[in-house]
Amino acid sequence: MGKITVIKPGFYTSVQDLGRYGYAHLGVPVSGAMDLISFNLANHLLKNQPDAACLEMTMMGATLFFDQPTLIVLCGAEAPISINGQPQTLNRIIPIQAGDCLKISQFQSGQRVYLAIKEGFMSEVILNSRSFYKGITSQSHLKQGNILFYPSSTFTGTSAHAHLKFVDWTRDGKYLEVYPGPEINNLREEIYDKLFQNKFTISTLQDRMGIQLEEHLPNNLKEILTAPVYPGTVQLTPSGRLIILMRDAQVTGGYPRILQLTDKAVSLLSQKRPGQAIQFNLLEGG
Amino acid sequence: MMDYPIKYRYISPFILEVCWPADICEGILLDIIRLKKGLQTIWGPDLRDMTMGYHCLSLHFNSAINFPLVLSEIEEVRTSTGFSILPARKRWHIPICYDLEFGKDLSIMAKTTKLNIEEIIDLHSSTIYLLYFYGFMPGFMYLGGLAEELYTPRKNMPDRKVKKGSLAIGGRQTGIYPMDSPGGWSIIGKTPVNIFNLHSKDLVLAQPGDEIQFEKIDKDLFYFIQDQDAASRYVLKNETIHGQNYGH
Repeated sequence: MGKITVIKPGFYTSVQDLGRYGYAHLGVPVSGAMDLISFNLANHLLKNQPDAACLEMTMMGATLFFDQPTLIVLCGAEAPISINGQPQTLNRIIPIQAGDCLKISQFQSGQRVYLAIKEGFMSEVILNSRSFYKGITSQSHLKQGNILFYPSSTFTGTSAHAHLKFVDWTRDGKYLEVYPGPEINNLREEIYDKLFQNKFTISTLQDRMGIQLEEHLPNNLKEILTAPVYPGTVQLTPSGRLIILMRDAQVTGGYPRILQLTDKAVSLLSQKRPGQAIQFNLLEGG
Repeated sequence: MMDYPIKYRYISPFILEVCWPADICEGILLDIIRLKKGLQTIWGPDLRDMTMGYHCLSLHFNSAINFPLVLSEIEEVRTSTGFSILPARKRWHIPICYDLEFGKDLSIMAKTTKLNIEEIIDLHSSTIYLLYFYGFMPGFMYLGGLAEELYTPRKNMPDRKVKKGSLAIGGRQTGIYPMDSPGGWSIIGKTPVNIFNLHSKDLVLAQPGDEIQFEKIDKDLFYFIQDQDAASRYVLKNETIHGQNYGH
């Protein structure tokens, strides 16, 4: 078994997989990778199981020391990557030797980088998932000196053939596809129109639970009886703030739910930076 | 059996909500529980998650929903007498120490409610609450039945850290924080029992539709039960309720 030592944890790095399903009725959030498109691509390139656990890094990557050979892939945001000082690229298999030091610096564009490892990380499984979540797993993010385990894997091929054509999701336009939310029809017409005609700006108030938008929307809706919410639910608060719930969101909420992002839109949004503009694109029906 | 008018809300190709009239009442809760149980029986593994609100049942499927088929099966379950039986109701007694050391907002509440602290505690611990659903955070119970005299607005400035086990009142609701969390409710006591237990086969004991009563304990008993609970030697007191109208 291989061992990674966390030299620098980066801004916010956590173990994530496809999420924790089947416990929402007890109030347990789904969690899982914010950008499932990059997460899936990273595992796919390594021919891993689809739910193999990856590291999710946010804005500023980690520095990691490996003590056994393995294969890794990095996908997602554009970031300077190096191994023992030698530059590396995203979206291709990188062989790792015992004693290698991987460094991922501040991202140039996009918000999240996924590090997949051959056969997945081996952190604790709680309620059928390895996804970190405070109160469920023993930690919410990695700290300096933490140790992560992985199956050691010797590599014989060459990395050159493994490069795959891929879609550059992080540069995808400003449009986010949405379904109408349960309370949208109670919006006054001019407010409804604004919701789809206006652009909105991603604010700095964001984490794995939700992302707030800078512009407010005049609001005529009252709070609702506490009802289910989901990753991708857009809530409108009494003061007119728009909050888009993300993977670590609570399972219930009391604000009107005016939109529901598609799963793909949640992934795209999780790569947007504060200051970037988005616009909602309404899909027919649900 | 199930004669409330219901509506369907399409959330996404994978998620469907069944909605009852927007009200907090036991009749709707029991109707939701019946339907939930029935759908679990017929769909089982097709369902990824089933969550509840006061008047909604959310069905989250593993694959894209065939809406006409799903709606007709829901109607079938709602009209079939075979799915009208409710699970047995239990009443759970959760020990609470209302000592001022734990109930740090009791003094302020005494001013705002114009009751004295003893009256607040007596009123709170003599009420039998109904568990509607879990939400907000893992193991957090949404309880109905708080006495009107105890309604307390949420704090303007939420506390940065409310301790795990804290019993609190926020607006018209009362509940226990199952883990450390920021929170804006007024803290009136604390339970020594782990109400959301990751190390137990049953993460929680009380089910939606069950009753909750808080039992006043002193500090000595608090620490005794805390030790017992930590050693998995404490069993939450409970009994099965045979209410004459329950289940009909």
